[in-house]
Amino acid sequence: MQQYIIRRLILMLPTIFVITVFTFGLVRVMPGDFIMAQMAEARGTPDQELIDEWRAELGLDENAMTQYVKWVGGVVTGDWGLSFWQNEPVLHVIGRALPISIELGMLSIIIGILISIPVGVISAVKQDTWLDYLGRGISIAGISVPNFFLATLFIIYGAKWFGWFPPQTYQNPFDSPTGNIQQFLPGALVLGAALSAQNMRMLRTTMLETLRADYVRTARAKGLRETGVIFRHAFRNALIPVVTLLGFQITVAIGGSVIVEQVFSMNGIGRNYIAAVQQRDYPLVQGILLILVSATLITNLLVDLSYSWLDPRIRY
Amino acid sequence: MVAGAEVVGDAGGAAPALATRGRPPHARLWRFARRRPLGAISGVVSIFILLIALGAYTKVLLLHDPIVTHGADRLLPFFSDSADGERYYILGTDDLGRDMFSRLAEGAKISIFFGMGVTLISVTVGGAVGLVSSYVGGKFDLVIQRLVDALQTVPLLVLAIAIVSISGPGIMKGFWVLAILSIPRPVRVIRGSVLAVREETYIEAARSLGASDRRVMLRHVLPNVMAPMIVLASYVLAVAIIIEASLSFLGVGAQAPTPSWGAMLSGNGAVYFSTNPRLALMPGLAISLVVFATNMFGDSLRDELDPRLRGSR
Repeated sequence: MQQYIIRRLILMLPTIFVITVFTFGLVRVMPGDFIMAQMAEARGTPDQELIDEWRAELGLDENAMTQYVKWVGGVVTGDWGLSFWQNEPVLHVIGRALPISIELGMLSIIIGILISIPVGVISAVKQDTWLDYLGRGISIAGISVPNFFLATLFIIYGAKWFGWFPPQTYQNPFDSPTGNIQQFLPGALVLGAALSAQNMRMLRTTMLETLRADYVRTARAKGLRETGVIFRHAFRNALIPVVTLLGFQITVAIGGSVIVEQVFSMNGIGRNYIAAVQQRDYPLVQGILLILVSATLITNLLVDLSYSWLDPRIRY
Repeated sequence: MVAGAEVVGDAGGAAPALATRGRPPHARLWRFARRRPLGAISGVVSIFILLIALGAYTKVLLLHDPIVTHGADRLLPFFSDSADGERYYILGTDDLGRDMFSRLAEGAKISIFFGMGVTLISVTVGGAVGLVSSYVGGKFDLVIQRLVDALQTVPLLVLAIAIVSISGPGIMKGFWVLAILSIPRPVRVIRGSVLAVREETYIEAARSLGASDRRVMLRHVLPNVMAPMIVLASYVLAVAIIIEASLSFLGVGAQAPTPSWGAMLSGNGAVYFSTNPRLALMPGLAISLVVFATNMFGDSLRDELDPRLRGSR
């Protein structure tokens, strides 16, 4: 098992390498760099000498390879560079934004699980009845309604009916729990709805399969009560693909959070990412992408490891 | 719609046996509609929306120009006449006096063509790559799978935003970006099916009879992996439509004045919501409806085609 973990961790490195090279090249291929973006806002013709000096200061005058090597060296030693736009170390910016995104993500996933498990189980157990159709209809509606639409509706009707506006500044959960919940709940509900829809469909499918398995038939033949059959036997085995899905949902939560953070004005990773891309703030874009990719890879590893806990037949 | 049923019946051996095999196509359609009414309705709705998109493409449904503004006709309600009496607006106008019905129809065209194009490209290319890679196996397969894994680690929207920012915003660039980024998923899905089918006895029989790799892949493996691919296509379509709307919403997809549903939702729609909610509600509901219909249809199709999931009779 330990060997497996170590092997997986080592295998992560080439993937991270590919992604970092890719994103590094990506942002530098963009027309105009950070300095041009800043100059575009200034009036009058920019002084070429000033531009060159600025460029040298930011390290943009060297060729791409050198920049990449320097950046990788920095990352490994804990110096992720200075954000051009926010003028702070990238790690500080990320450190501020990450807890917000993590909290949003976790709340969304929890809400997703809370909704999807009862709906999914009921839908599978009562297949093809109106309950099934209702459950499937709701869950598909959850995936179909775009999250930016739902988020916009939240804000508009929240303001209209309840006079509520999303709090602008971050409320620390330890300082002000109610304020924190107020700020995160709408976004988490929006994201959670979509996540629950995916979970529910997967759970329904896997439950349907396991409910037709031989061991379930044996359990019923032995005279076990139906609820016992469902929860003690079918459900646990149906969970394995759902756990895989949960792992992917971390990625989905991050992608969806980009929009939700934008609409609800939450200063998380997603919002910083969009702004950084628009500003051509290379260090910040690279830093954020590095975090995202690493988080996804580590989550995949954790999901794979959890399989051996859920199904003892699976051993590494 | 019944392609899965027809081709599957061809392969023999362990192919899933559909009770509808051997019946004429219209009987199969009717049976599908009776057993899965919601799926059938969704299929009809999807076709209806496709027709709207085609109507916009051929300009038949564009009652008025979706882009030209009319200052005198701003924010008119449903079923109203224009200020100069020359035009009739079924669904009213937006804040710049443009006909909502035509804009919605044009938006349908954009979303549907975008979605179908992305789906077609990614499913065929991804399917082909996945089919060959999983069947052949070996080092080639390993490399492809590593690439696919790497591409899938970054969330689709995040990567799409970055790439579209490079190439400049615009619908066509977003289209190609998304088509390419959507390829990994079909590769993954088809891989699972191919790996299972590869070990079947009839494949072994075909090979021992001397069938070439190419023949085995095309004639025996492919028909048996079609069903999950068809379902996947409906999923890819839904995702593509939502991502196009998201990119337009964020301002990096379709550019004004192109009436993409997502763009209609962000700019004027939100601003005028308190007085004229329909400006934002209509495109939002349109997106939801299209995605709902395609998802529901794909779901029902999968339930119908996968024999393991049929309800107990």
